[in-house]
Formats: sequence, C-alpha cells, structure tokens
Amino acid sequence: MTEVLDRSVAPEPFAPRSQPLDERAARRTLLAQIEHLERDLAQLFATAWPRQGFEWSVDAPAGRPRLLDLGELEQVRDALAHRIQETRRDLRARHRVEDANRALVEDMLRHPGRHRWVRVSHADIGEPGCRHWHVVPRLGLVGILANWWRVKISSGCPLPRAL
Amino acid sequence: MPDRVVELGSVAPELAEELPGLGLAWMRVAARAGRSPAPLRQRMNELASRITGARVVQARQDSVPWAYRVLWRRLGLDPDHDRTPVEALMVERLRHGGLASHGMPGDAAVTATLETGVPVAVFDADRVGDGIGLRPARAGESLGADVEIPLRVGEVIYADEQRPLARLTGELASTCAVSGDTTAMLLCALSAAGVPDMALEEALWIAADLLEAAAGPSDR
Repeated sequence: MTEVLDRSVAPEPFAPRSQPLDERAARRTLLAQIEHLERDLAQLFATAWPRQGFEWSVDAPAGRPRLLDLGELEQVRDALAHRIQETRRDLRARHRVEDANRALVEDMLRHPGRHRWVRVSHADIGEPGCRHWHVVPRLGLVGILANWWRVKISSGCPLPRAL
Repeated sequence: MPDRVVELGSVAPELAEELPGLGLAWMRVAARAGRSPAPLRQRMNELASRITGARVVQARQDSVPWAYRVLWRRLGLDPDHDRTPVEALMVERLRHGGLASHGMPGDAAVTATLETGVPVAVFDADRVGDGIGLRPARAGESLGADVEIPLRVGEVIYADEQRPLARLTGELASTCAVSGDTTAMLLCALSAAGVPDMALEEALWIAADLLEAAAGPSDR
C-alpha cells in the first residue's frame, strides 16, 4: 500500500529533452545565420575573382566534424560575419583603385605623352587575362627625342599548365 | 536494367535534430576492384577538361556543393581548409592539370562525385554490418584494426551497428575498405540539407553503372 501511494505522489517524469527549448531555438537561429553568411561569402568569392590577395579562411572551432555547442556556433557565425565585412571593405578599396586605373588607361590612350612609360595590366583593373597597356615611344630613341608616344597593347598569356 | 535498390541509412537522433537533411543513401553493387576501363579514363579526361578555374570559383555558388559547405561550417570545419569532397577533387584537378586514375572503385566514386557534387564513399559490402548510418564517435573508438586511427569523441562518422567505418571527410577504416577479395561493394552517398534526393540517387547510379560496366556481365 505504501508503495502504491509513493508512486502516485511521485509520478514518472516526462521524457527528458536533449536541450532546453530556448537553446534549441537559439541554435536554429545560429544555424540559419551561418547558412546565410556562407551564401554571402560564396557570392563575395565569385565577385572577387580573379583578384588575388584576399583571405578566405574563417576560424573553425573543431578540427573534426562534430556538433558544436552554442558558444562555438556563435563563434562560427561571428567569424564568418567578420570575414565578410573585412573582405567587402578590401574589395571596395580594390574597386576604387581599379576605377582609377581604368580612368588612367583612358587618359593614356588619349594623351600618351602625359604618361610616359606607364604600364597598366588587366590585374590592375580587376580583369582576368594577361593584357597590359604600356606607354612607349614611337621609333625608340627618335620617339623619345621627338616626344612621340603611343600605347602598346600587349596580350598573350603563357600556355596553360598544371599549377 | 540491373536490380538496384537505394536504401536510407540511419542518422543518430541528436544529429537529425540539429541538422535536418543530414543523411545517408546507400546501394549494394556486385563489383570487383581493378584497373579502370579505357572508356572511364576517357570520361575522366573529359570531365577534367570541364573543370576550369572559373568553374571551380562558380562551384561554391551551385546549390549542391554549397550545401556541403554549409554542412561543413555547421559541423565546425572551415571548407576552405578542410575541403568538401567535391571541392577537394576540383582543386586537385587544377593542381595536377588532370584527374589521375587510381583504378576501381576510386575512379567510379570520383566521377560520381564530380558529376553530381555528392560525396560517394565505397565500402566492401561483405565487411560492413547492418545498420549503416551516421553517428557521433564514442569514447575509445578508432578506425581500423591493423593501424588504428583514433577518433575524437563526438566526431561525426559513418558507422554500422558494430564499429566506425569512415570519417565524414573520407578516410576509411582498413577493416571495411575494398580489397582484391571484394566481390560486392556498398556505395554510400552523403546527404545534406538542400541536396535533392535525385542528386543522391544519380550519384549512386553513376558509380554503380561504372562499377558494373568494369566488372563485366559475368560478375553481375
């Protein structure tokens, strides 16, 4: 009889949740944010190509694939956001330089004499390929003495080979 | 048409709750290890010629490779350091100027992975137990028997009911790897959120077609 009473007073607990309810909601939010940030980073990567010199790696808390705790998920989210912000800033700065270089090329073509020996490559304007614009004198020494300048547009990449 | 069935592997509840869409599809195929036939090597060459630098840059925006990048991030990896299988193969192709043939079943898995973006792992079907799936590694577990590779507790792995089979990043236990004695193989396609079932099935079918074509009609 005592046992029966004891059971009725202390019912079996509900099945335990693996995580508290608000933590699960927070985790879902963080996982969704990571997904969106990864998309932004991928778009940025494609936008930045073929420019070199950007850092793309993002600090990762795990050396091996595993479920992350809440703090680690926040760490991944923050690191991704930081990387995107940094890369966008660098890319904007690069765009400003490239715009200036494009204007320079236009001016070189109009007034080569003002830009003696200046050389601008496709990389300087953020384009793929090996072309460059180079202001050189016509007829060599004669051109230097007579102030005859022209823009030589060169092309031709090395033959493709393994990296 | 060969009689093939795509089965779904199990996923540990804690993984399924945290990462909906994570999964494993597998298929058993009668096949043997060996040299890849000339048509497959030709196909790999053609595949390699399609993988240019611009294609690799674009790949991370494509829905399937991108889904694995997201999975890697959510599991605490940096996909620019520990590359997803498809990106690792693409970068390897750029570095070496082509896709080197390593024989069967490796070439079949590489072709299926590059064609679909879905990672395909191949095991010796007779050395894998029931209940293949994904789960976190437990304390004291390791990969292999002869050369033991320790696993970290909680690391997400391919496993059957008895033991770990492989790392998610592709490292297989020697105890279930394909060998010269293998007569049947288990093809496993890893699924992530956003990867359509059709892509998983296509990956398995491509690999199965190639393996069965290499094995010849007598082994089917």
